Amino acid sequence: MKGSERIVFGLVLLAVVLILTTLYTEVKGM
Amino acid sequence: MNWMHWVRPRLWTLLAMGTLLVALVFTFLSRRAFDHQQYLDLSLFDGADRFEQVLKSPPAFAAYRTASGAQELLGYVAFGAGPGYAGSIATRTLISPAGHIIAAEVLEHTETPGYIRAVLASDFLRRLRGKELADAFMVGQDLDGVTKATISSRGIAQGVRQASHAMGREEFGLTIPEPKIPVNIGLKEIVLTALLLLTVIGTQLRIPRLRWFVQIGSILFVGFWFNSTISLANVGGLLLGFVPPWRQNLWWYIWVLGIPLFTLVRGQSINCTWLCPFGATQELLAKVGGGQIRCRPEYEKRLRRVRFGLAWLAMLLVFLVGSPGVAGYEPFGTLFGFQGLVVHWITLVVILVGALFVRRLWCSFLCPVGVMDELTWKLGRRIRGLLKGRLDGGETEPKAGGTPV
Repeated sequence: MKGSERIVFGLVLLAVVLILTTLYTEVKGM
Repeated sequence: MNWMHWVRPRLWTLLAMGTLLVALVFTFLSRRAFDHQQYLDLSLFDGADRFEQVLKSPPAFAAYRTASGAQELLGYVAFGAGPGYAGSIATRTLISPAGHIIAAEVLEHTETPGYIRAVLASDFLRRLRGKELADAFMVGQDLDGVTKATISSRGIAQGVRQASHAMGREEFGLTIPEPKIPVNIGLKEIVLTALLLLTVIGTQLRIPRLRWFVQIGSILFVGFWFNSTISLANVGGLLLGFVPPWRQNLWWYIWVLGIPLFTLVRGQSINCTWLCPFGATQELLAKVGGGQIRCRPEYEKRLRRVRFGLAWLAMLLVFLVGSPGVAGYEPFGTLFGFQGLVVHWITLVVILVGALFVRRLWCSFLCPVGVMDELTWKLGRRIRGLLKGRLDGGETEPKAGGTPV
């Protein structure tokens, strides 16, 4: 895997973690 | 076996669709009507020991104190509901014996949580206090809405109006005319129609230069001015049967129904590449940052599946919770409406910084609306292909790919 691909993967992974946290927070707040 | 050959490549799609269908059926079967009884609390009125129902629809109750022997009326509690941006909002209104609003509250909602948070953080509910039962309770007339959450404010006002006017007529004997709700044709409706028309012209006559014009207009108006980006909450709301009244929400019919309908009929995507202000913002950022970081196509193809997984999870939550707003994880409202929790802001910063270097980071790998858009134009092309095949008397395979123009 090239360096640029690692950056894209890293960004997507970070975003997915944040999105899952968002979903958890919103559902918990219901 | 033949059917196994058909099923195997479509296994994940079928599983995803199957689970969503089961969840949707579950939601409709387990849907319960709003139960006002659980919100009838004697502690709402100091010293109250008894409620007596005075209205059936909308439900309203008189609160009494009878402890001293004589019956003393302390006030009324009346329930109502109004439509928000993505779902309904249930309200409770406390009314004094003289016919003034003591307090108005939001009890339950299936609205986008960010908009409700914005209304509750403002003094909108406090501004309702002291109003009389015969007042109009109309945002834009005797009430100021909450900026960036106007539709939610309007929904709450409608719930309070419904309760107050019914109480005024039935219990206080007031003559309150039915409110005339005007058909809302304002700047929003005109601008959205213009942008949609320009997009139709640009895509059908193949004028790609129009796209930048539409995108800038979209960022300014659809994004920052109206904060009306199509979101998962709109799609979820529609699937759960939420359709706002047309008179005050003409824009919704132009935008939230018009865009998917065009996409389906033409088998062509217009939202993501032309009309979405968040996509346009990312394109501008990629111009600034270069947007040169990318994956090899085989990795990109795999990574793009993340969108489908997230969209599936979000839709599943929408159906299971029965609230379309709850799973709207898009950062649209945070950027354009300046609303959101800490985690929303962190997500937005990550996406916007990422979009400087990775072209359309959000659209490519994360956007659930993009998934809906893709499914819609693919379905449109399949239908067109089938119809064409039938007209030609043979099978015609729909053209693959999602080119915007």
